[in-house]
Amino acid sequence: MDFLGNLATGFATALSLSNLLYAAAGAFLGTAIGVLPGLGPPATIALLLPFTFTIDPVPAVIMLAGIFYGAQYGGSTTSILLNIPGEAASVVTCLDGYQMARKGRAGPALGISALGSFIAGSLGVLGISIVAPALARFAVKFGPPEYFSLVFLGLIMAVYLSQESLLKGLLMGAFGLILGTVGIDPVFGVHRFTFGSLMLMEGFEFVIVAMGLFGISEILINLESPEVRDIYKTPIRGLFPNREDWKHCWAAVLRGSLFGFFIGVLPGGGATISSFVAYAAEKRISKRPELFGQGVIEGVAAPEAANNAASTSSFIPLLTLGVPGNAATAMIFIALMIHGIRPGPFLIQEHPQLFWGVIASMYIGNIILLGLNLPLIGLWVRLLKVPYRILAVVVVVMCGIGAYTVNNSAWDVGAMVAFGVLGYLMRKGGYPPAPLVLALLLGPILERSLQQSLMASEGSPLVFLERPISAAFLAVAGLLVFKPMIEWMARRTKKWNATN
Amino acid sequence: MKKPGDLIASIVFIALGIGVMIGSVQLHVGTPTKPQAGFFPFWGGMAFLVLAVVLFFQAWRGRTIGSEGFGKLGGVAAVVLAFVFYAATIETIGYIPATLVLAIVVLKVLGTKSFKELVGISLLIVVTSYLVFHKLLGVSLPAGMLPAFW
Repeated sequence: MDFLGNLATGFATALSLSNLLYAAAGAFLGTAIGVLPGLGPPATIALLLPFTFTIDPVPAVIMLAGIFYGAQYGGSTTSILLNIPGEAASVVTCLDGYQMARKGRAGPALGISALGSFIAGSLGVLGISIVAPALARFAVKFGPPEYFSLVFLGLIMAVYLSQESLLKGLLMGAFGLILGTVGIDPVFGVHRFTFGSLMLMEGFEFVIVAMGLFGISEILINLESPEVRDIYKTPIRGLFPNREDWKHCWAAVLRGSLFGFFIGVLPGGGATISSFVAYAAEKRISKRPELFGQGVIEGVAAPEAANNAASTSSFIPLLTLGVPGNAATAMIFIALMIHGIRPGPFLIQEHPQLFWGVIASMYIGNIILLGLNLPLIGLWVRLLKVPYRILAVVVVVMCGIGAYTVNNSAWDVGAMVAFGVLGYLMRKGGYPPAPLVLALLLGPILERSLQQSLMASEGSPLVFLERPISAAFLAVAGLLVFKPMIEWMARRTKKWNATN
Repeated sequence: MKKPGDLIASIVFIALGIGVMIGSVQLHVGTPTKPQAGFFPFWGGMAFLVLAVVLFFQAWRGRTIGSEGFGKLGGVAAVVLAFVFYAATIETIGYIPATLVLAIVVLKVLGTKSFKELVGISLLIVVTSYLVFHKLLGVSLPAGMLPAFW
């Protein structure tokens, strides 16, 4: 009953005219950036973050969340029609989606992508409504050692799951922790690594760092080799899958939703990994695996369902534990903090209107997205024809305004450019920006909980191992970090055994 | 085969790690019972240094992964310089002229050849952004040397 009452409160909030408009704006923007290759959700949310400072927190989060999950809907359009994924999470959709388009079945591919996304998104929202309050009640019992271990595990998992190079990811995580210490120390009031600069006293502004690392660097990368778009000229007819299609893909949608939901909850899990896992699992389960990659509808349905469910469930660690698991939810974390709201286990109790309002807006957002994606498919195809140079100038102008308006200071614009160049070099060298951004954000929480834990335990680091939850988190983190070493030792032992 | 890009990066990271640890000691590291302002950055710097040393040896043995070659750098350099100009002049010459220069450079780098198109598109986007953000949404943008128009 409590659940239904809370959800009713949420719907009352989300259905107000202004919140509906913000949800629609977020869904529209999300679909647009999903459709347009070259600008991801973290970059877009970073660009728009400064403009949400002046509006209330509920509509601000509703809009930013809409951009995030809306992008998963839009990302499939380019995968199917151009064989170019609009988002990383839609890479796998290219495999069968584009083949379906080549066979003249672009309509059902786009249709199942939108309908599968809708079903998965709705199931994801139902899941978050049930799981989040229970997890928050559990997390209330966490003390500083559990928080330290949880944040540490979150950072390690974000590195581990998002990367091919664990070492480079870890390096960027450590670099982010160091950057997070710049400024006045909150406990001792000492200036750390400010080199006498007044501008560095407040530390690095998260929004500026994120805009540089994601927005500017993406522009610089695209300048090197502007992409050529060649839309597959196929008539888009019959968006609704037929009975035969549904027979093949209804279970794939449900399985994709489940995979997506559980992988999305993991820090660093997110939409991209879940889409790959769902596709691989579907191929393994399928009675016709040999047809995968040649244009089977379940090859589109499963990953599209998974990436939407994952983008929804990735709000669970953010809203209940105060630990964002990816760069996009990190931006939403900042949006909440700027409005004086601390995400974590007490969020549901202290700001029920915000929590349930955002959840309810996701239900509504999914319906809006279905309306935006199916009937307006022609509009999104036309949007693809906008030359990249126009889009690039709009993004550059938005970056400039966004950075300047954070503190009305040209210094911030300069800092954004510096981080943009750094982000460009990092991407070229294969150093992922997401762990740096997450560590910059979570570093102060990690430092505070470390100091509190050590002071309470009179300096004994064993405090992290004596408490079972904390020990479990650290054990998983340790396994992930040392996994390559364990595998190497296992290989050596096997080789040694074979030769002796 | 050695990976020169990662080797250079690892040397920069090693220097940075050492610098952070020295800076942390100057801030006072303290003890686990009484951690001081330098405690967290010291151990963060230590972790960074250890990882950078591992990267150095991996790059030396050519075992690092993930890096890719640079494409045409001329355009990237031009846009970065235009951004630096933008940051340096936005408060003195104002939002519209500074952004106009930036927009023209981006369009030019991305292959716009016609002068009319270059100036026309830039003006349209810059003036529209000014009207939407400054006039409609009340965002404060520097007037610079064009106060008569604000």
